[in-house]
Amino acid sequence: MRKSAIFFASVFIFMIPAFLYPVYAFETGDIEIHGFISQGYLLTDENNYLAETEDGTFEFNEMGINFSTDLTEQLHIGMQFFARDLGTVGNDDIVLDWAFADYRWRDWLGFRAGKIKIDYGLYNETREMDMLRTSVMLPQSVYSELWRDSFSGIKGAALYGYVPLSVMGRFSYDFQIGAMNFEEDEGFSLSFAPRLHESMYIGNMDADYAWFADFQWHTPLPGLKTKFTYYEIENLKAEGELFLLSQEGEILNSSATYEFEEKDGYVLSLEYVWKNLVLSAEYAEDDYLARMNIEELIQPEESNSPKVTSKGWYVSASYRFTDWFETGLSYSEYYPDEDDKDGDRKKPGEEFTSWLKVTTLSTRFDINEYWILKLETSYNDGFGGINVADNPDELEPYWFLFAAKMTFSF
Amino acid sequence: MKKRIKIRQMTRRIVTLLFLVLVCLICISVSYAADVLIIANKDVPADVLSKNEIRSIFLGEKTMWGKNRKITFVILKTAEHEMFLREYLGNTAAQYLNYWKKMVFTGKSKSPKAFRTAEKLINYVSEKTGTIGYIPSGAYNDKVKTISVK
Repeated sequence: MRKSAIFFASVFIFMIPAFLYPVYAFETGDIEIHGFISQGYLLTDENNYLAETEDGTFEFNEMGINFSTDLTEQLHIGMQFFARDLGTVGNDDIVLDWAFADYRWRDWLGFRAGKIKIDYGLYNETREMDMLRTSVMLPQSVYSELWRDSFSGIKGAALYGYVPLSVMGRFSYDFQIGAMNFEEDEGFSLSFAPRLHESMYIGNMDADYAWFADFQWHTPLPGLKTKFTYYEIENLKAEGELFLLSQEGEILNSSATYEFEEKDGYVLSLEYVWKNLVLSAEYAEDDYLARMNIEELIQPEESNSPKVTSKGWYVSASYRFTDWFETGLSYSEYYPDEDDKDGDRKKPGEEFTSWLKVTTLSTRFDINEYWILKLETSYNDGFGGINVADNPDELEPYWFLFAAKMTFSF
Repeated sequence: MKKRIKIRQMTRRIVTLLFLVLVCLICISVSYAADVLIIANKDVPADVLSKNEIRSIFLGEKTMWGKNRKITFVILKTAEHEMFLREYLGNTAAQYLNYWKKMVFTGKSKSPKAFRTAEKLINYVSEKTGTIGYIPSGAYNDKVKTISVK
């Protein structure tokens, strides 16, 4: 708590010059300093979504500050500290968001080493930075809020580069490899637990390493780009406890281990920018195949859980009408298990937890170069892929989400 | 017969109109190109650049003159900024600002140096080796060299 207060104060102190002088960056010698701070509000008419939103919540904020410099003509280094709060996640604890050295040997080949933002789809790298998009919430079909912490960064190395293709446009690539972070009390573990077993509690989750490969092509048609991302997480393992019902009707508490033989996914992205109009569409698939080992079974056994594939896609359009006003409209669909899109395997009355279909209308007001206000409303059909633990009472299949957010960046 | 003549006349008018629109568009694009001059420090080895190369430079994708001479680019925060972005990058000022915020907040680069007057920009370009920028054509002086666009 004290650390968070000091961090908040530090970000605020660095902001003072931006209030006084109209400059974008704060520079001390050769070191450039940038930062942002945002405060949001979430309200739902039914169901708690990511926090206690039925009563409205201000537990929705982000802040970050970064320092960077060029050590030589080809070597750039920097780091960003970040804190956020969203319901029970984050609690404004300060984390190292990214910190790496970047050596650009040639335009077509550069190296990065350290903690790097994961390049996944069009917007994962920038999801912490609210001021870089029209909407408050990214489409959950591709950018699940529950996976956010684990998919935020990777500790390792990357190769990247830009290749001009003359009349065919230009091409860029980014290959990242390293260790991802899985905390037992964060979204990835919390969202995976009920998918593995309905009574599962994950106490530890870890993987050997993960790799991400991105290929981006800026086509000859000005403003049109397409991107492909593929990733694999190697030897992901989840350990925890679950409850089993014995043949005699006794409830047994057992430790359980899930070893993932496969955990991979891909995203196909398309973005078209024409003057003030931005159109984008993305399609994502995510697979896992886990081998289960439960200790307390009367006859201990290992079994292969079936391969589960989740699918999601969205289309969105945003248009900037004036220097200060932009609006966006998006539609997204997400299915946590593509073999049960209609919810036939769910308990009667809970079929709608097999999908999430969201229509979102966003407005963004750029008060000036530093201040942004966003207001957004979403109509949601279903509750697929969302942590149900926040909703001990009955869930409703149709619900509205209202989000507001104010951001300052420099 | 009368109908056929009418259709012919209409077609001629449409073709004329399209031709006029095309001429206007060409005039507009020529005037944009004429209003913004690409300038560079005199030691920059290139005298001619393609539009694609200029775009890559101002997006931070092309960072070297040849194999090991660093490119520094600078931007001008006047009306010519919008004109330059429209002509060479196909972006609006808001999109370009967002692009660089993305680079800065993901740690990939420092933000580009910006000037509020052409005079200050010319002075900077003339003093810093490997630097490229743009100015309104009327502001040119021989402290720097111009880059032709092919």
